[in-house]
Amino acid sequence: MNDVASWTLTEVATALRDRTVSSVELTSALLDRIAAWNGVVNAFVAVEAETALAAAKAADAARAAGQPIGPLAGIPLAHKDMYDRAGVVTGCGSRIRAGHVATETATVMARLEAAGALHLGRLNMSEFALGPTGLNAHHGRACNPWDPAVVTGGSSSGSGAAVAAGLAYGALGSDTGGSIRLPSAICGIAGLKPTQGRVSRHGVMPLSFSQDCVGPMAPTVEDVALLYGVIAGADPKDPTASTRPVTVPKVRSRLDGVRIGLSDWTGADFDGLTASAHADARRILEGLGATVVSVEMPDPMALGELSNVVAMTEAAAIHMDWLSTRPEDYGDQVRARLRQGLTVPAALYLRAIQMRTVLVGRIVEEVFGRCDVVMLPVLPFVPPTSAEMDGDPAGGAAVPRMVAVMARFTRPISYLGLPGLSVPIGRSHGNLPIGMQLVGRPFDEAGILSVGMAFERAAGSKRLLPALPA
Amino acid sequence: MDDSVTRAWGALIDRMSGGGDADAAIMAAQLERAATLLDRPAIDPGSLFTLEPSSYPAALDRLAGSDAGGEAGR
Repeated sequence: MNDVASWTLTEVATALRDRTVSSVELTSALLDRIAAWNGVVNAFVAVEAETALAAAKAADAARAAGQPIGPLAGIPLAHKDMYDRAGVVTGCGSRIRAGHVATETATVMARLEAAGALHLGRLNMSEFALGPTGLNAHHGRACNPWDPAVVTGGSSSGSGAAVAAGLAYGALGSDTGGSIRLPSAICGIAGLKPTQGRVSRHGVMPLSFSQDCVGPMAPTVEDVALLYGVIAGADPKDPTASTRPVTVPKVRSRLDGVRIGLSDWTGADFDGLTASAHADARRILEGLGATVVSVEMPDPMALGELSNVVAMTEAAAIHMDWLSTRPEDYGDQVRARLRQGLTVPAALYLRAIQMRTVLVGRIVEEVFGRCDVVMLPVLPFVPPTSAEMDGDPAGGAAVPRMVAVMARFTRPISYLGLPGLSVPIGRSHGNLPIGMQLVGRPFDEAGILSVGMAFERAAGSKRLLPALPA
Repeated sequence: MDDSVTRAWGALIDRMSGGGDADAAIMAAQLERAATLLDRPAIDPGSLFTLEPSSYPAALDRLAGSDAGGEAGR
């Protein structure tokens, strides 16, 4: 048997269906790998070996007995530590919620379980999902498996590190300003931030209720599409979840008739390697028959500031009581950022909320009137080291600038509520991943997934696994 | 923005957030940025009279149309 850790989620689903591998074999192999790797990447804050193996045995037995099973039956996954499961701790990367035991299961967890997925454990994350690098004052930061000195991106840091290192076949992250797209791009996997309201948030830790999105992260876009089809859709327990039907596209061999919008969002720090990878990706898309057109997007920095105003104000409202009663239990940087949210005038917050309706209407008309999918960078430079980005853990004046730099091309899409897909497109000289971002119309996840899947097939993308450092 | 407003605001936030090590410089910068945004005539203010915050999910749904997706999703 080949090294099962190098398989994609889709390959694993096929192998289980064909009975060329068992869930117990897969789960045991990943648990062994977690034991070897977690000291390096710090992706898991808790491993649930016994329950995972018991669930794997049950899945194998159900399959052998010919019982009805779901599309993820027996597949080991792990998720950001902010999704409630009844009777299990949801720590939210924090000291404040470290002992919190949920009484109900989040809708997305229930849907994954109903589809047969197994839980390997709880994954590291930025404290309360606040931070684009993955810094965590309580658990320590998750480290990038391609170079532990490099950030994973955040806030779904453990999700990015675990999937990239081959410790899980997929993971849920959450994205309020880039928290799925950044770690996906920086760790070299695929990740989808769905449209605002596409996926239920019942039982999910809130950060900014106007911008929070739940989404999948996995080795390939095809894997992400599989997970997306399981978790998306209406939920009576979440009145903000859309009732629009969910479409999961099939892989296309051609993109004839598809218009790709190329924006001028780059900037002075758009480095040569990243630009070159994007140019190559553009050529591949054109080779598939897509037409590339230029589009003008609003100033990303202005959109990012509006996103920040909304996110920090809503986060401060959620955390106001703990900020007052347990300030010492927050990491310094997180506490400082939440306190900044308390300073935003109510009128400014409401104006920022109002303006996004105006701005998204303009973008749908002016940008998506000219194209079907917009292609953007996720990050304008190769992944930086933690030393470069986390130099001010106390939350000083450098932090807002760091956040603005890291999330320059992701926060605007969160503010607008549009779907965004991170797709691996290349490697830097140091073998660090580079990703592109495909953005679609509201609720057009099918469009961006379709382009992403066609791209990865045409590019001959293979799942790569990092080598364990000596 | 008037310094006295910034100072008073800082003191208020300090009390609300448990006191101690509030970074007044960051708060002042945040207020300054907020004031700049409020001053920026990004859109016709008149259009804001027709918008309420709760309308956003409906706006996205309307903008998606009856058949979400163009050529790319087919």
